[in-house]
Amino acid sequence: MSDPDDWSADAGDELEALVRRAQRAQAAGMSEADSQRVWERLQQQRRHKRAPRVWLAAAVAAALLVAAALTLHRPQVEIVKEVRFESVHEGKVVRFELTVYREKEKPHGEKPIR
Amino acid sequence: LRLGRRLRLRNKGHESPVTRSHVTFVAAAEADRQLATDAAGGDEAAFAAIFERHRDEVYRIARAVAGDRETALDAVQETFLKVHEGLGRFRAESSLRTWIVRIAVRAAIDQRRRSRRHPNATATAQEPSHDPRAGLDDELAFERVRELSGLLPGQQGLILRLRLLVGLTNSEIAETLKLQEPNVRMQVSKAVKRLREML
Repeated sequence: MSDPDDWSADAGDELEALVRRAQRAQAAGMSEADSQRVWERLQQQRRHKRAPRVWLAAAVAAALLVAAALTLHRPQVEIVKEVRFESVHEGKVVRFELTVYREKEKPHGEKPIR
Repeated sequence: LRLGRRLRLRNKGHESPVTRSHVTFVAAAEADRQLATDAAGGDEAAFAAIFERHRDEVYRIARAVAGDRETALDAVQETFLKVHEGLGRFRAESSLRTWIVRIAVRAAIDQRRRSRRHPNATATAQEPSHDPRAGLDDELAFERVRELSGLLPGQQGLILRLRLLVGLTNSEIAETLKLQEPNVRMQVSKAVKRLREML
């Protein structure tokens, strides 16, 4: 660890005296009033930084809830028939797929359009 | 001569002053580590204690680097905001103090840059730019040392301010600025000689 005054050997009397006075100006540190002010501003700034994070978390939670609700209420379907056909002719592939399905639960309130 | 003075100091009492300060330093570092762990876990009182323990040194760094009082206070605020945000990532490879000092130096440099871009953004008409508790003569000396060190090339000005106005040791400056200690010692010596010529 270096001696706190090892610079003074090169300084000369005039510079040393100037630096000693400058150090006295620094000695008091932070006043209680300034400290209180900085602490309050710091708390405010932290609250402001925290707020968008809370909103983001709430938005993500809401999106997850909506996705879960949609998944649960998706109409259940029964596959009646599946047909797949594939042909290769002159290097070209033709693929045909057909799926016939029926909804398991029909809504009761729906009336036919006349 | 300096060695002789140290030896005389050691022989004055039963306990060496060097040993006592070392014990205090280790105890403070240990307490800091505990506070950092608690604050990272959300303990507000622990964070308040960290603020209380380090605010004066952070303010001295901010004043020495950034200059006027208002800019320095902004830099202190920014430093502790970054400290709070980074506590979860803080690894006890270096001491909490060294880590905070490093953040403070960077925050003060950023704040000084910002205040130069927007000169009236931080200063208010009612607030004096200097610390009202310090004597005017001392405050003028402080400004003069800052002004002269600002004329030094490269990082010499910053190194000199941290050495003379904050009181960091060469090894602390080296750790903070990621330099080699002999390099810092040489820069301080050169800077002091140049400052002496400028007077």
